[in-house]
Amino acid sequence: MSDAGLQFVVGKGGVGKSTLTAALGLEAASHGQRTLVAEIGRHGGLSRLFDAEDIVPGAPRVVAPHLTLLTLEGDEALAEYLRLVIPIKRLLSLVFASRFYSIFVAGAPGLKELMTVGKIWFEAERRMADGQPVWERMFVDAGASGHSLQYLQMPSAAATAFRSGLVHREATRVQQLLADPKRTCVHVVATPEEMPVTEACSIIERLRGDLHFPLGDLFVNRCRPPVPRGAAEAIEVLGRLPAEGEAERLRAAMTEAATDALEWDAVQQAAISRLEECTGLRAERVPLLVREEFGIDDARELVSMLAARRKPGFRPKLARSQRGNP
Amino acid sequence: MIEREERDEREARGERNAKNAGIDEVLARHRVVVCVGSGGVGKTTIAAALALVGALAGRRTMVLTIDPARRLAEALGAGELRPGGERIEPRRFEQAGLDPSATLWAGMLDQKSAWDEFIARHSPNPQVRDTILANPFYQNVSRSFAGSTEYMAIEELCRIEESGNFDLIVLDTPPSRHALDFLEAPRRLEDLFDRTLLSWLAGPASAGWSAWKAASRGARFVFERIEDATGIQALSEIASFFSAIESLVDGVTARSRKVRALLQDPSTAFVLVTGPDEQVLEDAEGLTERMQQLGVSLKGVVMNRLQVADGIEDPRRFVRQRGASSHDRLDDRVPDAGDDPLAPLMAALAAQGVAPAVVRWLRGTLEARIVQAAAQEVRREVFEAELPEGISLRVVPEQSRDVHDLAGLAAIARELSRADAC
Repeated sequence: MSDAGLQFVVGKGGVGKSTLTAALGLEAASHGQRTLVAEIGRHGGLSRLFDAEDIVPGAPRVVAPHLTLLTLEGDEALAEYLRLVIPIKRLLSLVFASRFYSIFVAGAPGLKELMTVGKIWFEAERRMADGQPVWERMFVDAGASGHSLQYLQMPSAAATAFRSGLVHREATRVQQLLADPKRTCVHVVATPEEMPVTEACSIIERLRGDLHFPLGDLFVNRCRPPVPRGAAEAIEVLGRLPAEGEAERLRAAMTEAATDALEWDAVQQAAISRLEECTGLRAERVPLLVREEFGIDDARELVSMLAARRKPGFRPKLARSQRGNP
Repeated sequence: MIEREERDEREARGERNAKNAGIDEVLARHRVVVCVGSGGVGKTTIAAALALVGALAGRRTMVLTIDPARRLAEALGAGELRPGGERIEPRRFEQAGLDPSATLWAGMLDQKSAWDEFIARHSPNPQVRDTILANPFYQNVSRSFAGSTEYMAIEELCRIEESGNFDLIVLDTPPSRHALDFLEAPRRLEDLFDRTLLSWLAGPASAGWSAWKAASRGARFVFERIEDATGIQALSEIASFFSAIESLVDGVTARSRKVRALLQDPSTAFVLVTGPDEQVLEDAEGLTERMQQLGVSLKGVVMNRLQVADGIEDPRRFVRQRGASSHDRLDDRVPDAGDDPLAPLMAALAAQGVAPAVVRWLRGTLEARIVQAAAQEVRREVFEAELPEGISLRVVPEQSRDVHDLAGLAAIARELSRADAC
């Protein structure tokens, strides 16, 4: 498990990034670490999980002991940035009301993404009065848009596009944080199926290639339980059992469920081997949770699994910094 | 699976879909079908399967995807999809046991080259084209402008539609957080190409810019800060980009009107693809309202990857191996040992020498399916109840294997058009 303070979670839409981000956050918080979970864009999976759908972008909310949730929006991040650049209120409202602003926002693609990443950087660098970081751990759900990398690539794109000035300098600084393996890592999530695996492979190729990001873990979410030895034979036995009436229906349903489970197991194994082969990484298997309603309990159930991955002898940083906790 | 069981299963599914026998009709009555939906629900697969239904019904069909991960190419089993599209070889239909005379084309939109083509098409002359293509700001725009993929998809759709080569075009749309984000793309692009704004922005030396700058000392201060913040160089690049695209405005505006008209045309249908989880209910909220605002109409919903447990009447009776918090709702009634409908089956398996671990596994697969199916059925009912009149809902059960070839798509196509089979 990475010790990096800032950890991103990326992957194809629908693979469970939010649940995993929440689990990582809950796990860190359970050790008493001051933890921030952030998501890009409003009405995302994280705010839904924490039952905080009414959260205002940019306004942090405590959702569990030691755990704070923050949602980030491009418009809000850009506005906040301009408030820093132009500290005079009257002028600022003039700017916001002007057509220039709407063109500036609409006409400068990538700027909002940059400001969003900039806000993450700002939170990661924030210090308390005694010099301790405000957040010991940050986990960022990089968006369900299917364009998670869009945000991560923005600082380097901006540093190239804007060759001078404040944006250039800030983009360069943000890029330095993102590229530092001691401080940042990017987790990639897939499910054991063909297409999410393909996406994970191409994400990792880009993270290693032109983006130069420190890789975190490779998670394979929703892994079905292992098939015991003798399962195929048992399905045959099941087929031979004499049964009628309800017993017959149950036998048919069980045969179908077990046959499907066998086939999914083959798909799962093939997907995981392909994933491990194309990335050269070991895939961390996260179990499929079967339940009626999905929610924060899913994330809580994953916490103990994640906790078991902590290195032996790992001591939460809080042990050292607890006195500084406000 | 023996024949009788299969027929029973089909009947059960037919019943489930009976009141919604509309997806085939939606396909039959429209020339353009746009699949919208949030990421991860299998939109690309459903778009391909819908196209396959159309092609098998004898219509010349094109399915167009935008996804850079080339997922559709994989689903169709083709190596590479080209921007202009390519016909799926009849040989591959034969291999999948399908009618080889079906005409199905698949195309993929390459975002970057689509932008370049778009600029080339609308540039009044090669000089303008080259100026724009070489502009660093443009290069950045075409890569990262939010909504550009969406717009390019519609633009490409328009071109294919105008070609008249196809009776049916199915468009897969980029994954978005919200199902309908896609539809806002034309408006966003029109904003970018707004003539008055463009002439205003064309060059820091332009009248608008300097007039505003000179208007007051306060404004000058603001500009200096913003110029400092962004870098003068970049601003002049933006300015020269906008002055270059000014000459494109008329073409683009006319185009944009056509694009909008196509989306609002009665021959265009929107199909929402969604999954069985909670996002479904979120998607349902305000769906029609937003579509009405945008002037487009939703004709069908495909709920993909639903778990089904046929022949199971009372799910509560079956769930015994439960985790502490796994099945909260089902958990309110714990069956005693005497009320375990699976007990005889379990005992019979054990008597046949099946190892206890394997018996537990068998039971676990059935219980997992029952729990999922029961929960998803509730969500489906709630969703369906919230759907406005006249929108058909089609349920596609979870496939027992990953869909990655034409035969797999055909299985889904059969689910989509099951009303015909019943």
